[in-house]
Amino acid sequence: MIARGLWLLLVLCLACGARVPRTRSALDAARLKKAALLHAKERAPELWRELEQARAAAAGAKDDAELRADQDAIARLWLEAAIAECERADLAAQRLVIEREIEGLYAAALRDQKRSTQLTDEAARKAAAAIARNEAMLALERAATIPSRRPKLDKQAESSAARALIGRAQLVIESARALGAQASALTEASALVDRASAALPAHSDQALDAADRALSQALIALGPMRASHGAVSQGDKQALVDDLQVLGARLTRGDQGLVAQIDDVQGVGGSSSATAPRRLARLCAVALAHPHGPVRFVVAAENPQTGARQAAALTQALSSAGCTGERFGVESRALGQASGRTLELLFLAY
Amino acid sequence: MIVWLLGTAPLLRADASEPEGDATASDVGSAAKPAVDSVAMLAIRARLERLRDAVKREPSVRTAVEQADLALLRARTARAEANEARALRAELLAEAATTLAERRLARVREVEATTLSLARRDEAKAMAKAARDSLSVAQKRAAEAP
Repeated sequence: MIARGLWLLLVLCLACGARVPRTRSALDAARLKKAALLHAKERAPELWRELEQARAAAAGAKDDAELRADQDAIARLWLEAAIAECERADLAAQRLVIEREIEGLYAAALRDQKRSTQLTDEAARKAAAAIARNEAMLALERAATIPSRRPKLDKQAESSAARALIGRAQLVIESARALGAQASALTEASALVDRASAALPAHSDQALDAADRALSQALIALGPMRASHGAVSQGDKQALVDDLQVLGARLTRGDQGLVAQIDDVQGVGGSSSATAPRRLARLCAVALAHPHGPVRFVVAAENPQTGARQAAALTQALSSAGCTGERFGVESRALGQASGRTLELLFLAY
Repeated sequence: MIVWLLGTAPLLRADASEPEGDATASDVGSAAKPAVDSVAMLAIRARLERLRDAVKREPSVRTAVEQADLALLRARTARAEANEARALRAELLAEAATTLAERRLARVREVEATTLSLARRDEAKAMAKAARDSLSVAQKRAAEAP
């Protein structure tokens, strides 16, 4: 019985003794496989060199079990270190990708924020410009009406309109001066501005008339200065658009140039008058203020007979406002959806 | 052996910068055999000291550091027994275990840094989305403006 027990113990011991190296070698094989997958030999060469030295030492110590065990342990440690190093390098590479992604995201966010701010600012500027333009349009509408027929406005509204026109006239005068206009060319406009400013506290209606005429005179004085500055620039085009919009024109840009369509213009319908109606005079002033290229005035006509009559009347009215010469042409034709008092201006150079 | 270990215990705690053989009788104890640490051992001990903080919170590093400590102890014992070959092997073992601990700590730190980067990426994504939304609102308003 005892002998059988001893045999069993021996068998168990042998089994255990044999199992340890098998497990260890299996573990090493798994580690080596992992290291191969990570390309540890190439990526951690200094650690791999130590590992190979330890393995060589272990292989060379067949007779010394202790030495072999130590060298095996050393080799395993170097192998683990090489694996850890490769894993660290992989993580570092991943992190680099993430950091680049973060950098890109921040850059995109910054770009979008900047663009958003730009758009918001632009919208605010456009809104402010639209308000200013509407105010000027209203002021000009009031100024264009004969004082006796002018709708009864409260004094404050009339003063506000006059102030808007005075401000605009002053700006145009300053622009003309900056472009080199002679003082004599601006004398009348400046005098009218002074008169409008003086009349403003007590007689806002007179101030409105004077301011309107001051603006027209200033625009006329600005024309030659612009002409002396060479070809039409993008700024010149925009300035013409602004001036026409203030007059309530619908604008389109075509192959021929800038087309402005304005409804309900007195003096276009065929009634001749010794003095050009105020709105037509203002259009003429704008045309003179933007001196590049020919300008064609087209009046809407129902038939050729009335068209000819209307064109003749318009030519006369324009002439009295200062729009004469080869640069200005007048014709009549059927304009779609236009009434008899609709006028179309074609600025060929803009 | 136990008596010798007790005798050399103060030496194990001694400053790694102490030169070899400077241990005094009062440090070591008059009954103990004076142990001599090689320059390699001192260097390894200095490296291990730098890993002590990480040992507390990183089990994988702790295992390697413990292996290195044991190997140093073995080296000291072998040197005391004048078995230089065994001492050198133990030093090699300590060197390998210390390197492993360092590489594992570097990997742990890289994992932490990657985790932080991932969190930062989420933040950046949220920020980019907010900016994109803000831009699309601004573009819509600009398109609707007169």
